[in-house]
Amino acid sequence: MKRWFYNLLKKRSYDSINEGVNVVQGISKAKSLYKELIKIAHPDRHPHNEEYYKKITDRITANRYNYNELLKIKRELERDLESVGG
Amino acid sequence: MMNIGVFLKNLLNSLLDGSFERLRIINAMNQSFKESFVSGDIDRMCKVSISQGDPDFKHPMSSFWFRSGFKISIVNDSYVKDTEYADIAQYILQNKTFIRQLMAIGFDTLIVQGANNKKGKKYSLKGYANLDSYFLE
Repeated sequence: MKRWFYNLLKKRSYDSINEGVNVVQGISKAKSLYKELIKIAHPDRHPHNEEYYKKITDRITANRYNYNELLKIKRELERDLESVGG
Repeated sequence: MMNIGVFLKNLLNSLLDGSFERLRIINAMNQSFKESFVSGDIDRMCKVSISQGDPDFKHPMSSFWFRSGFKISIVNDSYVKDTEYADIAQYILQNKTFIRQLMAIGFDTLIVQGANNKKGKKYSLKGYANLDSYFLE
């Protein structure tokens, strides 16, 4: 009974809530983000660093259903492209 | 504002589960689905709920069979293609962390179906969780 009451009141699990919201955002936004990233990171567009961008495109494909991971990759790509540009 | 029917349903659910965790995830997802639909990011309005699971998909952490299904219903389900059900399911089935979280709170079956046409698909969560060495069957 004590255990049941503890479970009822225990702190909310933010991890599972975040993951649930990530799934919904994936359903609504991941497809377009995936297409955008795969175009930006295509190895043919980066002949100076083909191997690196091949790895990035593999990561994008592996995470095509995971919106949070795609966002992380997008931030990395923006950083990379900024440092190359600057 | 939450109406009395929804409040009583939520209270019953949390008493049956012994925790509010399932409800919190479901409420957060429903809110997010609503926002995505209203903002125009998706054309299908979806709702998440607890449903009957498939007894064949049972695992050691499963709840009672009539509360072990994690159901995503497509509310505006006219002209839904079969591939759309599978497409929605992939966003859960490819997310191993979320599958394990669902299994840990007693779900064993993922159901994606139209709210009106009742067409859809169901999936065994344990089959996608990479727990081969743990389950002996």
